[in-house]
Amino acid sequence: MHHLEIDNKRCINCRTCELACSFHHKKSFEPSMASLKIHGETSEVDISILFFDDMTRVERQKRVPCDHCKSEILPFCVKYCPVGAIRAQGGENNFR
Amino acid sequence: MREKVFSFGGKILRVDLGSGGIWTEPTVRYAEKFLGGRGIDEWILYNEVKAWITPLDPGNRLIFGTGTLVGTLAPSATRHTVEAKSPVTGGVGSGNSCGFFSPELKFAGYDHIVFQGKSTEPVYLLISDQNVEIRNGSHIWGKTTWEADELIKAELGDRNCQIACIGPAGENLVKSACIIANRARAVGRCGLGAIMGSKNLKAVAVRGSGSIEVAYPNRFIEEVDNALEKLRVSDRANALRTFGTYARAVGLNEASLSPVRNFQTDAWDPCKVGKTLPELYKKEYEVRRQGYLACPLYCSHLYRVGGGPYAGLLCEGFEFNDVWNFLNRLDIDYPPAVIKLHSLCNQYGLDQDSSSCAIAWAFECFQKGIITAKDTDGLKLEWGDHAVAVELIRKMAYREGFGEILAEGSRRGSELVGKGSERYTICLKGQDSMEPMRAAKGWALGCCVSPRGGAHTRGANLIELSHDIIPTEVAQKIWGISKVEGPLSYEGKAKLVVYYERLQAILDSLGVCLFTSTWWSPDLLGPEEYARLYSAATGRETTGDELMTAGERIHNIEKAFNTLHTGFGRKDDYPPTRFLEEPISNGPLQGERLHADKWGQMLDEYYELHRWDKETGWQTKRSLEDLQLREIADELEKSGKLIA
Repeated sequence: MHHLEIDNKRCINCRTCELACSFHHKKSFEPSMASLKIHGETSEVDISILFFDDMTRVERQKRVPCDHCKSEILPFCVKYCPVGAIRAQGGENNFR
Repeated sequence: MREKVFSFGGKILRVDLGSGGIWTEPTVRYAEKFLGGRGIDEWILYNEVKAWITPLDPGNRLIFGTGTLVGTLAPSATRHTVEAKSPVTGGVGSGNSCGFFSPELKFAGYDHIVFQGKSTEPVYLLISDQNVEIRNGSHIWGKTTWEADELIKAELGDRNCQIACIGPAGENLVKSACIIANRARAVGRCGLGAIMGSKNLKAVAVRGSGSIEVAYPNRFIEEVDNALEKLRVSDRANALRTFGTYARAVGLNEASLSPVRNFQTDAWDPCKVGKTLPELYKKEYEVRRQGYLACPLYCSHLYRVGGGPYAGLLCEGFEFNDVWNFLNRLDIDYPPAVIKLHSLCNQYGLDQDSSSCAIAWAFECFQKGIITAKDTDGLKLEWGDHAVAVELIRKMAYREGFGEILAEGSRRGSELVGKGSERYTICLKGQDSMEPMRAAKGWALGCCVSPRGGAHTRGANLIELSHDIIPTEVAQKIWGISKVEGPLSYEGKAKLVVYYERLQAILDSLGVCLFTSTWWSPDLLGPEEYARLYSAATGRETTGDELMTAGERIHNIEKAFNTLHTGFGRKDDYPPTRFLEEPISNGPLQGERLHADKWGQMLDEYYELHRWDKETGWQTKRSLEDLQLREIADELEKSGKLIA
């Protein structure tokens, strides 16, 4: 089980993690079902990364719970985050 | 039911704003020959807009395209492209932008939207997956792009919808009006915002919750990883991550590629360069970085101005173009001014390149005494005065007073002003051009032959500036030349231009960013890498060479559209007279200019590589037939504009 650490200050609001997460679950690209979601707009200073467990019922909608990518060497949100805003505790990190 | 086509949304959305009709057609019928994105847009435009349809006529099409790789993890596949007959050149209008709009449209199931007709009232289009609705837009008409974005989100109660819209400039049919998404991402050139305005279409808002499937998921993700690794280790890619597109500003000035005071020279005062360094913007104004979907380069940034006349401004941008547009061209050395002018253009929906060129032309006319404060509503147009530039941007967007002339662009503006003012216009195929040309011959050629009327996103290359660090084997492998000559040489440049025209057509059709490619640096992605991504995504096994052939085909559609609609030929592929007659007047390359005879030879070589006719610059029957464009050859032949 991977433990994930979030650093909202690093997040650049690109939402690549949502895309990567959906690929882990479905082998296709569907950010609306991802286990995490970026909150914030391009004009806003503060951006935050919200995981399934912390979402409201409405936000969860068709999303699936985070399984911490237990089948993957590295969680996909970690691997494809370009800036290291999501990290796997004690493990390898992203492309950067 | 969505048709199963890998890596596509699957449908082309058709909207007739005159009748209110909405229908779809499958994308697949166009995909094999024209890839996607710009390729499909161009083919639809070519077929449906004939020469007798004028740009602002309801019969003109306004076509939004996504791209074959958009919505996947392929690096930077998050761009949209817009095509229409341009109100500026009368020929092909084409623009391209980053943002969240394109993937959202694909997740809704659409690869393209084709607008035709004209609404009698202001409207906006709302797309929510399969539900598509033309909505009343009276309450957002007259609003800036930032206000419209906010009002639509509030009305829908949805902060996550993605919106592409026009500002007052588009509504007022300003020739340099653009289309803005995410408040700062512009489909800039060719006056496409005015086409949207002419149709009374204020905005397109989209929400998509579907998925994009790729043919071979495991193979595709491996190719994504390979591409990301190339982008990770590249120094040039890292420079973009740090400074954005501003990364090479100082180097370009040292190479005499800075269009100072409306191109009176091409080297900016080093003291002024020192006052506006990329490091300063990073330290003083950058609040955070902004990235877009699947982009490992995240070259954009959010800026905040803390003090002075523009205090409190918070906006995304600016891009390198604005260094040329506002700092160099208007000789402004007050750092926050470029942030202000950039954001104002975005709010009003004005293309910064064309708008700043028209303003610089007016400044020079003022300097030369051709116009006075009596003509400019009392304003004194003096170099470096950013407050005057701010006011002119506003006047232009609303066509108020002197802004009525600026709103037409410098070419038409000079006809209205007269008195020899046309001497100071810098236009390509009638469109204001932002590009310095005297000190980089290949760059200049790429801009001058561009079918969309200038701009460096067709054949212009940056590689000649790095000629001394490119090994022979790299030059041979990528461009098929033994050596990349320096920027002052005319030799071998036609080959570079043709290569990048083809590559750019691929990038715009796949929906990926040119900064991930060999355009930015030879160690980045080329046709082979894109072909591997494309093959794994679509299931259509394709080589880099085959993609380049498709790129040549797409470029030839643009070329033919221009020939039929405008008659552009060889004479329209020459640079503005100023660059042939007036040399650079300062700096290390003082005395450098373009020479017509050498230009002619370079042009000959360029036409030969395309297999076009050297005398007229027109296409040949054989070249079009070899590209499987027989229909185009037939139409050109009927109009007497095809060389046997």
